[in-house]
Amino acid sequence: MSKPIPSLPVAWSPRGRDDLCPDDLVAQSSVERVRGLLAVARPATAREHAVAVLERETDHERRSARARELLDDLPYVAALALEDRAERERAIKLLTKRTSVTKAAVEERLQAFERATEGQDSDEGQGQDGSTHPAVDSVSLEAGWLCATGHRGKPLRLANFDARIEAEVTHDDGVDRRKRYRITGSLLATGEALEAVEVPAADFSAMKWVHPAWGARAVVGAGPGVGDRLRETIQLRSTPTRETVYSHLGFRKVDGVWTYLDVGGSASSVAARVEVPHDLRRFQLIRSTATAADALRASIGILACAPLAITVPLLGAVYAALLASILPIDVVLWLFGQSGTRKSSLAAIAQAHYGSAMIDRRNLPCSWTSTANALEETTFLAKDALVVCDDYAPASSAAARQEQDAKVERIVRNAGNRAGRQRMLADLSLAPAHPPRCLLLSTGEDAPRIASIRARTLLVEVQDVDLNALSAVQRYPELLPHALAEVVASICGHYDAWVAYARSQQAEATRNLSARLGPKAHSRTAGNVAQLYVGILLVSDVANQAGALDAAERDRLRNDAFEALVAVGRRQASLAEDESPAEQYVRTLSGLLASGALWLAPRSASVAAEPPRGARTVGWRDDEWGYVLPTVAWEEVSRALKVSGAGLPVSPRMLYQEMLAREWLVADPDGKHQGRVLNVGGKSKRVLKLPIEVLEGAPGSDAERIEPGPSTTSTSSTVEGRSTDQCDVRDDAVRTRWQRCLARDSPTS
Amino acid sequence: MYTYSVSHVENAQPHASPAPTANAAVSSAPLLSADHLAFLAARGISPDLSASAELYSVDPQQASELLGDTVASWGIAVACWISDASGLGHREICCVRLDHVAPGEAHCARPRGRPRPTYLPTVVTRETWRDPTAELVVVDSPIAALALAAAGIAALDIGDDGAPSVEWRGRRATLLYSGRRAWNADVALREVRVARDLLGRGAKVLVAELPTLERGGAL
Repeated sequence: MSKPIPSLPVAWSPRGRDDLCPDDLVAQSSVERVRGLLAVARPATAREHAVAVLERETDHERRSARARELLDDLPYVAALALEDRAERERAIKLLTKRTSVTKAAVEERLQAFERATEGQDSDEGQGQDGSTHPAVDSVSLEAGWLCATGHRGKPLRLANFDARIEAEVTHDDGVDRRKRYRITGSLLATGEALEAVEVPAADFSAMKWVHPAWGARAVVGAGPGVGDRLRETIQLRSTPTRETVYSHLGFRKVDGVWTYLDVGGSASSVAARVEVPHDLRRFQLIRSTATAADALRASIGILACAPLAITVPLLGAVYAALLASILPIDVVLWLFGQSGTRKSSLAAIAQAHYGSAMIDRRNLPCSWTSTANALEETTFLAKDALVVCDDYAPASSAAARQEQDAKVERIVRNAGNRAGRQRMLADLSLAPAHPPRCLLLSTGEDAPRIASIRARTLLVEVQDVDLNALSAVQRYPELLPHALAEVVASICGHYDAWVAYARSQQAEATRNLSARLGPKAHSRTAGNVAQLYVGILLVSDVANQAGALDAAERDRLRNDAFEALVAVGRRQASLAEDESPAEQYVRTLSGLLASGALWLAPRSASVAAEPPRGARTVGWRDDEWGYVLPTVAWEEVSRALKVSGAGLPVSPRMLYQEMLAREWLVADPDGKHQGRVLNVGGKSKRVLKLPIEVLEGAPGSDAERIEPGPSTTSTSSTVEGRSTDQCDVRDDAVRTRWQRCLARDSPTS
Repeated sequence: MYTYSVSHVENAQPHASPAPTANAAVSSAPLLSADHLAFLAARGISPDLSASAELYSVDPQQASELLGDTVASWGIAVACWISDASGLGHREICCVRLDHVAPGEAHCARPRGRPRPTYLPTVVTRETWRDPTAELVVVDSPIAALALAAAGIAALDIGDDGAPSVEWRGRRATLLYSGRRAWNADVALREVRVARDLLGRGAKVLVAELPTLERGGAL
């Protein structure tokens, strides 16, 4: 535990006894004995000590014996070794004057001491032989100033304070490691302590941190090179400890052990210091006084708070988020619904798994009112965690809507692609990107309006929230982080096995869901839903291990969740299709034609027909086809969409390709062009040829659409042969089953 | 380095500060065992003073956690005031006084990898720290400082950061280190450095020696 005892001269060797401490003397003798020792204390410096010992001795032999005793005294030799050169020489002169002790004998003793202390950390820049580093050797205190030896030995004022680098702190965000120095100091004249400050290592050398940190009281001396001398002096006089501060959440290998970092440090026994921005300071996995089984049942009980099509994705997101940067998980869950449908409360329940204080929806970590940069940084630092971004509400003005759309697009696209914006540093090098490493859960009164963004999100409309069940979960928020802590502990204990298991299950679930969702679903949907299913697998396994669910309940939970996620995936297909660019274009164009703002002239008219008053001719028509001038139609549709704050997010070429694929457009016979050439009044016009029924009524009308998920009541339409009524009945039964979890969740039960 | 000030001492009133932060093991332990109470009582440290100084008994496992090393002895954990970036300071374990150590090792074990902090017994009044005519005794363990302070001798243990910012100019300061200074180069060096530090601050520094068997220092 202590350092190995260095080789010492015989006189300095340990005596193999328990040496006294002052308190032992109090205990074994009396405090008066201590006072007696204090009364006969000797001077501290080597020269004064030698004077006190030798001045009384006039006899050569006795004086020599006393001098030798001094050299056998380890503290005396230590004092001699650390004296300044001049003072040491004076002390040696005293020891050798009128004694048989030679200077060589003293030097030999000093060398023995040097060997004995070899390898020790030097204190205050001094070596064991008393010869110090030139920069520190020449530093002295003069009238409240730290001074160096300047020109011709004159003191050069460095500063009116003394400072030391107490610790070299490395801030590690998992991508970048930045060093900062924690510096403490005091004013030399008054001894007043200066508050400890952290200075970026890159800024330390310039010494420009002194005034911002310590104000006008701290004075750096004037003159060329003084700042650099001061910097060197501080560095050489410091013996900083080394610390690592983690500035992110989530799984991390610390000292060779996988652990989960939260604001309390580490979820396992590994010691780790975590400092995160204010928005993330509520992320803390604390175990409650309840049992693990009670906590896990309470967590699973959130399934009873709303239809399974809502709560299964929510529960899956809570636990899938733990693997967000590992698998990775790139789905964005988007809860939307009218104001007052309790979507924020539901999101808060999910978020509270990462810190019970976030059960209050006012304590959610993010909001869409934050800047895009702030959101980007939060989603980067909240690694392997669920982050709720609350309150997406349609903006009132077109400009605000565009800004809002741009922010949503950037954050969701980054999350979906696991990519961060590249940043250029001042030296033209590229800074490491900060990609999102969390699972983002957004709430809002509307779904995102951009089609490609919808494809990256899993849209869940919130309705029919059971307020009693919601209150039951909210009553014991401390159980939710406890449940998550159990899952985290299980992952930390068998990290590699869990990751391999989650990967294989994700791949299998993606295959199964693709088969169930069919070709109509967006290619990403099955993968997105499968990611949430992995979360369900995680919690159901750990709940089974903890005794919260038996094997049959675990399997039922998985089956129920799978069916609910299939329903969510099917609805996602209809929602994504609803707002494709082709849909937007055709619906807007037909609306403009129906309103009389645009007009298709009859192709059969022998003379150029005049449009109705206030209408603009956009092309021609016959009984079967509409022939639309592409430039005019694009211009009018774009203008109309701009008024509503939207826009077509694709180029005309991509739009027409989608319309061709949907058979809403007839291609040129040569296949080279997306339009057709039409002869009108003897002139050739390139037009888009569309079936007239597409222009007269929006395609994909309600009758053809897939109805919303299982919670929606009574329609006669079917989803791949299965009645949605059947979904309702099944959902009610299943919800009742999981309400039993809530009934059992009370820690007092 | 001068991170301790009189204001910190004033703030460190009995039970006025939260339990030490780096010692979850300690906060849940019983305060002091009967053996430790007897050990401290022999040194004039009453149970009330032990409580106000936040002394705790720790078992070998807790001691190992606090020290960051494996130890096989019970001990008394001693908390002290550490200034930090917040400016308010906090308490941390500065030493565990181990009951049993191997020959040659110090009883007062420090947490591994941390600088040795300064220990100022709360029983010493703020007037004493401010009054340069009051003699201070510098010892090398917190328990020794507390024992002397309990007996009316103003004492402190100066750590790696240097002397605290009490008024040193013109003050008589006597170093009274353990008997290990006679053969342990670490202890001897630390004593000399503390002495030089105090001399640099204008104190009148003296060195006292405890008796040892070899010097015929029978108790």
